[in-house]
Amino acid sequence: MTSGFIHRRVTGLVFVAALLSFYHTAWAAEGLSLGVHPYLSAPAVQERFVPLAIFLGGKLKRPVTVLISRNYEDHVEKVGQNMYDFAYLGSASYVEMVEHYGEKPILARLEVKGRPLFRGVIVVRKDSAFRSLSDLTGRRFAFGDPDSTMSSIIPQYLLLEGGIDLRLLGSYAHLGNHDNVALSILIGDFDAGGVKEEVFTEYEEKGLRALAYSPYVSEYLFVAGTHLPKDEIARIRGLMLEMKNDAQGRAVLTNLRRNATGLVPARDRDYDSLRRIMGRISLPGGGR
Amino acid sequence: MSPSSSARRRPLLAFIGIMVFTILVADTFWLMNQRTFLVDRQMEDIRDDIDLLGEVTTDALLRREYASAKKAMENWARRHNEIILARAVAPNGFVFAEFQRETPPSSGHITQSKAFKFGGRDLVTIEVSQHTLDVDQHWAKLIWQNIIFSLIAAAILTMILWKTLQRTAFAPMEKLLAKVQGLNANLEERVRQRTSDLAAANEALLREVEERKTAVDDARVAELAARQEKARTDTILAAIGDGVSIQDRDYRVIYQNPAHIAMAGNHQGRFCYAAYEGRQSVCEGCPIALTFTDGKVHVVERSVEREEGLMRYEISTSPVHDDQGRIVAGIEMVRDITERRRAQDIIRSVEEGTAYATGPEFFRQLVRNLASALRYKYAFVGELLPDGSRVRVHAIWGGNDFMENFEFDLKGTPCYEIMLSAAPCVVAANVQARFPEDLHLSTLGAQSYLGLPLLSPQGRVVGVLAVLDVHPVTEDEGPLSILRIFASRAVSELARQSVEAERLKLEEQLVQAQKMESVGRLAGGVAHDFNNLLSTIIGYGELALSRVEEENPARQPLGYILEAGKRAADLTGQLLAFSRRQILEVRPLDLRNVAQGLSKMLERMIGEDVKLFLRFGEDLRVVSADRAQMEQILMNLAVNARDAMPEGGRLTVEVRNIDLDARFSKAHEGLSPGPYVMMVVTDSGTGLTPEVQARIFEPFFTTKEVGKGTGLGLSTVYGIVRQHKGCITVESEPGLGTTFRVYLPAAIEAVQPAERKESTSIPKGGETLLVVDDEATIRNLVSDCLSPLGYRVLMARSGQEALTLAESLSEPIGLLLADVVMPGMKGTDLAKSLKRLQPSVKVIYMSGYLDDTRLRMDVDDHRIEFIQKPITPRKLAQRVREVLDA
Repeated sequence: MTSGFIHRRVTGLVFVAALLSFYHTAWAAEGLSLGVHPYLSAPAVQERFVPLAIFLGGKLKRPVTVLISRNYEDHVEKVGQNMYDFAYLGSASYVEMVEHYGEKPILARLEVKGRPLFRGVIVVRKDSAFRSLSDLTGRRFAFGDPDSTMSSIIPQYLLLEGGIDLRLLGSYAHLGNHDNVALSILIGDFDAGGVKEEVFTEYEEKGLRALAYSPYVSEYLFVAGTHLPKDEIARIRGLMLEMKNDAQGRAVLTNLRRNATGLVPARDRDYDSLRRIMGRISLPGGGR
Repeated sequence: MSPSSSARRRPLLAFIGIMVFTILVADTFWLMNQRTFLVDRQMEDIRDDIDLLGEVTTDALLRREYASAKKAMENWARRHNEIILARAVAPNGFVFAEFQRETPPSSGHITQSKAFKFGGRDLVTIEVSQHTLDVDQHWAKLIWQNIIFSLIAAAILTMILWKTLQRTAFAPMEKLLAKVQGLNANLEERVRQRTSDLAAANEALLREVEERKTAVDDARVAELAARQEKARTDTILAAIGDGVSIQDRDYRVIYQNPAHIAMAGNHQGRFCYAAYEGRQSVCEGCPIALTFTDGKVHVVERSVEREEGLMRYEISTSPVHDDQGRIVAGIEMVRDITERRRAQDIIRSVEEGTAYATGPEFFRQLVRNLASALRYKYAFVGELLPDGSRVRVHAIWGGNDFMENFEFDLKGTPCYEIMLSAAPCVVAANVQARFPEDLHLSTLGAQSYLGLPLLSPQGRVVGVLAVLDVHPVTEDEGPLSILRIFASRAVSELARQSVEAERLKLEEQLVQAQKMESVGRLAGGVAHDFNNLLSTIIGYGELALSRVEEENPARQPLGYILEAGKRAADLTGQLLAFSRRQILEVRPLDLRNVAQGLSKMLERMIGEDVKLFLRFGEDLRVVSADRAQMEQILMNLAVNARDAMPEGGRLTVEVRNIDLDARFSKAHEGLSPGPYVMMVVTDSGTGLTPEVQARIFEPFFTTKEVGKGTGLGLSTVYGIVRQHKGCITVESEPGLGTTFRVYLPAAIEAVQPAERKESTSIPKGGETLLVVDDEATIRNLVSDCLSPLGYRVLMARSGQEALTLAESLSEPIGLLLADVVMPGMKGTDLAKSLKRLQPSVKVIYMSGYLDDTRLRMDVDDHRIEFIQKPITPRKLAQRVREVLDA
């Protein structure tokens, strides 16, 4: 199948979704809700997830509505309190949700370029003199969103492992997203920063160098609310895991994340490494 | 062809050559000017583009939105086909945004760059290149038009000239030649004789003809050249976008180009002062008059009230000289600078309006200036409340005056879209139809809405800035750019207010901590004296009671004395707990066990109308704490809760783990980040006002009726928590109950506490004991308690007296019982000196109040032995035996 076909297919789905979302309040009561955290602007989240909702809704013969939480904390609370039938979560948000509300049935986790793991990098400019994390003492450090796994939590962990408490940094700031972190370092406003590996690769040619890599942690995932019947959960899980074997499913996946190759099974213990990392660093109020 | 026609053709061809050459030179000059004009105009466009990009990029960089800056620039360049290169370069040379497009074939390009600074610091350099395809094509078209025009003009002129010359010069000349030839046939002889004369005459005639012809040519050429020059000048002047008019020395308008006529009307032939200002004489400060006087260029600015509003013009005048250098006229060039000035006025009004204002006044100035700048009826600025679902309006301008501030629910409003997307919301018309749930829109009669999120430096939406109007508006970028300028000011003020609030909170916390510390010292000092007195009362009371028979009537009064003494001792204990000078018996402790163990007593205490609920988290951490003190905390909080629920209610005690971060610990004095155990006590009672909450932990502060409360309950809790290196907070609202949260640091090792077994019998001994206290009653009490048990008790009033006594003794001293604080030598110094004399001597310190921090730490860590006053016979005997046997 050509990429043009896929593009047309996805565009068509988005259009249908836009029409359906107009009426979503009318049939949300009998449908399923898919909760998503606002890691992108609301229209961008809708654009990425509505095709998935349409895809699943068609297979389940029930409408699936995409609902966007107000912020990360709100998302963790809503997922934890079963206010969504199923939800998409960042890895750190999942760990935090389990800590506060207990485990939820995991439906699947994302697989990107054939790998369900990703990692973070602490980056500096190529021409800088920094050779180890300890060189960053007293320097300016850029984080992404305070709730972001790879641009905030993992970098804090890497710094701590390198003997750098936040208080030892000259200054630090949260710049919202990975691109801002990379650009701020290249421009010279900051000496170092934390980004996911995918972003580092994008900016490496422009003058970034990796100072430290984090361990791999498990990718983003979908969980179901504990109020859903078990057979319903199994059905959604089955559909998700089968998506990579279906052309339409693959189109929906790449629309969700550019390099996504599938949704694969996951267990709670897959997130233990991240859990240990988060346990190492001080987090606001025990979470974020 | 006759010689005469050949002679005629030569000047004609020469004339045509000169004519064509002149036209070509003039055309070339005009075309070059035209190209310069077109290139200048394109360069001005590029400068405008750079200014626009600079403003957008600078704004984004200051907000640390690097990616937005990059994206905005690249999107902008993508939309403009004439751009072949746009790039933003950081001061370190890094190109953080770049867009390139291939230069069209056979086209040149123009490049301009400009550096932008902020606060004296280089921020970014913007470089933009445009291809010159449009200019080239336009110029090529002009060249062809001019070639065609020149050829046609040359052909027509040649024909006219040819006919004119034939009629005025060649025809008479031919007639004259014919006549000469006739005479020649008849008078050949005469001709022959006069050949030389005729030749001369002929030559003279030809010269005359030539001269006449030349005179005619010069006149025609001059006239044509003048006509063409005028046409060309008119074309150029008509093409200029600015208004151009020319006044003669009498101030009469002798020329206006179309742009000037469009601006001021056609007044050619009229005096300028009468035409433009309705005056009878030259205006004061007239720039043309100044130019006539000094021959220099003058530039002035004029405001003119017109139908579309106040128009601003920049007028530039320059002189026109004749051949002798005299000024014969003045050129006036008028440029419409209304929009430019308006933008400058807006920025200045924001600067001036908000420069010296802060807080509510700042926001009031901001919205008033914003509404005025954008010509919208309403403008408001609101802050997102912490729950994320409501907005508090800080200021709203209602067209003529400020309206009352209010709060509103975000849902269903245009602001909600802004909050969700963190992007601007523009509704040019029918805003009420689009947001039917927003009742404010209908109340205000709003038709259009333009709003922008206020973003914190971290990119979080913290508020909204919006304008509304009762008419539909056009959708363009202008108002949004102005709104962004105002928004950045609003964000700065919100950030300043936040910092100020944080500073005030820290100041209040410091003052509160200092107040509590000084009250604590006072309470501790009082407790010290009380404990000495109480030692005597309780100690001797117990001794007396033990020596009185069961049926003796003195037992009951003695019991009353002891009971009162113990209650006084409890009160003193509370004072010490508050002042954090109580000696703790710290052990690893599971707070769940404490709460469960105390639940029966709590239920009895709070009564039947109040239901007790206990909740515990999983894998609870252990804390290092004094069990009795933890029980005291629960009891005191429960008593307060009971009193707050006279009609009954719910009392919930919850214990769970929590990890405190640096932010939380910074906000609560004396806390370190790390793992904690949180005990939450919540009641559904009457709640507390903010004023009461502010003083709730002060000693002797009570809201209870006189005689019903000591005012020490919560201050005791406060002292205990602080002594355990923890923290207590209170949250309450009148009518909605109260929640106390006690945070205690988790113990490093979860060791189960080993309960100390209390012995019921009073142990005895035969060792020699040395009692040193400056209070005689204490010395006597100790002696009276211990001597009957078999000990030999020696007494001294001071350290020096004790050492003298020890030196004189031949027997070893088993134990020194010394007061810590004594006049002269302190108890600790005495112990050191005595140990030099008798290294095996053991020491117990006695005190009602430990002011020495180091000593208290030694006691807490069990490095020294200590007994807390007031002393009771049983406690004293047990402690002495324990130390001697250790």
